[in-house]
Amino acid sequence: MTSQLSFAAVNGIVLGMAVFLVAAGLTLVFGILKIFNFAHGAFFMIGAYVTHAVTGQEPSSLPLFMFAALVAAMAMGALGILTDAVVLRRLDGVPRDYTLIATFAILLLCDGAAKIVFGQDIYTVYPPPVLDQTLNVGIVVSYYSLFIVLCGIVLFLLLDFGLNHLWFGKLVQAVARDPWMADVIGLRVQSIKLISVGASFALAGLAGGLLVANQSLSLNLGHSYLLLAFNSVIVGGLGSIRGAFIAAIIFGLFESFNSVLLPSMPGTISYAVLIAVILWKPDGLFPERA
Amino acid sequence: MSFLAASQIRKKYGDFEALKGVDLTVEKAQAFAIIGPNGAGKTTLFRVLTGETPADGGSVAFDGRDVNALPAHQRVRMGFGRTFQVARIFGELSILTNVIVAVEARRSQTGEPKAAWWDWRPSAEIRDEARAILESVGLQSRVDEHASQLSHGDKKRLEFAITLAGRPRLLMLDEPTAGMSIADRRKTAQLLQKLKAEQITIVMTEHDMDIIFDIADRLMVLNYGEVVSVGDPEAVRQDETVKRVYLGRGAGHA
Amino acid sequence: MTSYKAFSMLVLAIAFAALTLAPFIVNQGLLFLIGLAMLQALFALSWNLMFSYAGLGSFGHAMFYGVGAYAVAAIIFHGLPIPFLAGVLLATLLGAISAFVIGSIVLRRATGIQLAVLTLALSQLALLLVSYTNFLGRDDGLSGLARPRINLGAFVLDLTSQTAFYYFILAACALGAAALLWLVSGPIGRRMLAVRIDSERAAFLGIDVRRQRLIAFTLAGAVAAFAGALAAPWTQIVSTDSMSWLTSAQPMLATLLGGAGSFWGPVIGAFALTMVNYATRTFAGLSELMVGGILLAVVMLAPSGIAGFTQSVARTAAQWTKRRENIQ
Repeated sequence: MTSQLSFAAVNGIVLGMAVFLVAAGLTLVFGILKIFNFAHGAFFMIGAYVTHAVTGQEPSSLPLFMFAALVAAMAMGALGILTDAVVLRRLDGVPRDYTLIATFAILLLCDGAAKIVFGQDIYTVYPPPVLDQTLNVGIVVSYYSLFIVLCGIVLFLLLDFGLNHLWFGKLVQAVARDPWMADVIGLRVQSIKLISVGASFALAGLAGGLLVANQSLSLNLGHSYLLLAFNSVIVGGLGSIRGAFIAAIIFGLFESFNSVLLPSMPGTISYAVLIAVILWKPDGLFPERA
Repeated sequence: MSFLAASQIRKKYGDFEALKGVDLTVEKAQAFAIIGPNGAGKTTLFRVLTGETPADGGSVAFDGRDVNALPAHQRVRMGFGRTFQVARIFGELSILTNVIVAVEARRSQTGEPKAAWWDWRPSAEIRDEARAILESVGLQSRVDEHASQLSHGDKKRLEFAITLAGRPRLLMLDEPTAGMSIADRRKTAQLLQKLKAEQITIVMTEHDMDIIFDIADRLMVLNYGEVVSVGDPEAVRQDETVKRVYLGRGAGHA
Repeated sequence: MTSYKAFSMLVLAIAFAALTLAPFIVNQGLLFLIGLAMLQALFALSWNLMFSYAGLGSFGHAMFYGVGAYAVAAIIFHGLPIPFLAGVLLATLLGAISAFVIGSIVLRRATGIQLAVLTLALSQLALLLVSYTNFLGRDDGLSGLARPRINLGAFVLDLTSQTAFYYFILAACALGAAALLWLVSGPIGRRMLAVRIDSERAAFLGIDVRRQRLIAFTLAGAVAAFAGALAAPWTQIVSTDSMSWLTSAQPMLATLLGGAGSFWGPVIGAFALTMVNYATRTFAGLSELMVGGILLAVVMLAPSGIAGFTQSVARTAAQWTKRRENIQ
């Protein structure tokens, strides 16, 4: 039992990091545009397809795999900039329920386009050979899982450091807090928004690329991650990177222990957690200061 | 027991103390004005009295009853009526419907006769009442227009109408003449005089000193969340502290 | 304005006549789709009751549709001794009760995004729980549902044929829509509108905002369950799809497409969606592209939807004719 529980704990952290990779871009775009982007999952899914297109079924090396994920990130970033210019920035002043529905419409567009372009077949991508091994330290962990955890931590540190200490990060925060004021003091609000939205979408593509291995790549890819990512962003306090990071780990652990302790009903506990947290703290655990 | 009595009201926003223990008593049929520089805590005090914001300390009693725990809509049912600094009306509805909603809301609470349950239209009685109220504020000729098309001053009048439809015993008016033309201000002052004559108690914040000296029986000066002075308007006007903190600096309209 | 009203009545009458004659005109496949469209329209009307009349954007409305569908499906599938009409009534009641319970918890704190995600999460949770329940057929759902014969004492109403059940749906949906129209045109509807437009102002008219929202949420749940209850014997299969987020999205799409501001907007939208899906059925992905594109255009260019668009066109036209009369 102990080994089963420690196995569940490790799995939970791996899942949590994977969820954070998806949630990071989602919470970032909310912080800046105050738009909850339902289409995030679609960009994640397309990013995975792009990666598959670059690497094929068996990526020959880790650098190639990373390169493919970067290509996916860049492609999605470009798509994000386009989306912002064509749609998102025009939603200023539109009632919030309508902006939610607008991003839902983008989700439909992406789904339809993906069906046409990628077809309905199911593909598989293996991790690159270096990562396709396992480590045995009492429990068995795959190198690929460790790689995901590493990616999650690095991404978190980069974002946290970048937003709080780098010049551009501070600009982004200023625009997120008070776009009007930022405009008054001469910041180029639209360009800053454009770049950060591009970055958020790029993160979706990157996540798709990094997480594609060991999964069946289909149009439904990411549905499971996506709902957990939504939940993490809400529970973490909309727009907060640290909140999303912690909430993602919490959800990862709950989800993982759920499958060990309540195997007949997988997936139910995280929803119970989400519902409890929203009722207890509607603004999440780490709300951004208004 | 005063009609409206608040004691030791405290309210903090983060580290900022908006109200530092404010006492206030208003007698029945009195007009009570609260003045003070911007940021003095007038609006916060208003929000606490009406039940929109809970206070961090102190208590509010209305008509001999402790209303601390009552949300806004229940205070309204006891006889509160309220207007906002920037008039809030139902812009998508017609002017008449705005008032009908208010009349229906009151009737459903007081158990006054309504239309037959199956009839979706407001009864003739309700329509007549709504029209009469609109007439009292001078909007009778435009009942079918969309409320959003009204001018700023007319919106304030419509807001008055829907507030009066609740037959309040206590009117809480947040800057009733803010942003109005001089002619509109005069009309509002007349309306307030008429309501006073009908024994309705009025609590208001206001910037226009002419209106205040015209209407108010008592005047309270608030500064930095504290009561600086309270009493007969003339006496308050002579108060040295008041002159220093408020009247002294706004020279023009004071 | 009055001429616009007369125009709408005319359109409504023509639409009703067309639906009545449909079984004589179209083939069985298309008739099936029209029946579905009517149920979707009623489902969308129930969602719009929350959205346009109480200001609640629920993203998990399918859970109540599912409650109704599964209730009737379980009765038929397991042969429970409950007459069909009583079953539909029971399903509606179950929808109302579950919506009331969920609403009293959810509406305590949440509006806006929190409400959206909370309702989405609850519906997903409901879906998961259903998929783990043997009685409800787990992941596979309940299939092979027979359409009923209703024994009314004096005579038996045989609804086993598709055409007969089509008329039953038409009557039930017309009844449901009429009930909703009556509700929103009356004092309750006016009060809900006040809550949606400015909840704080409404509170200062003595209106209990949370109570109005809860009423809207409960009634919407009841009507959604009613639509679901009729859908079960129509499609003759109920699966967890009926509770999925895609099902929740349908009434939103229909409402936005048709126009949230007008009562009949969701109905127009539901039929428009059915038409798009039918027209693009042979080309995978095209219907999502079309619906997504149209929806985006609607949100960005004409937030009042098809109904609002025709309304404003009618108004402009009326102003034009008036002006021309004035000139002459």
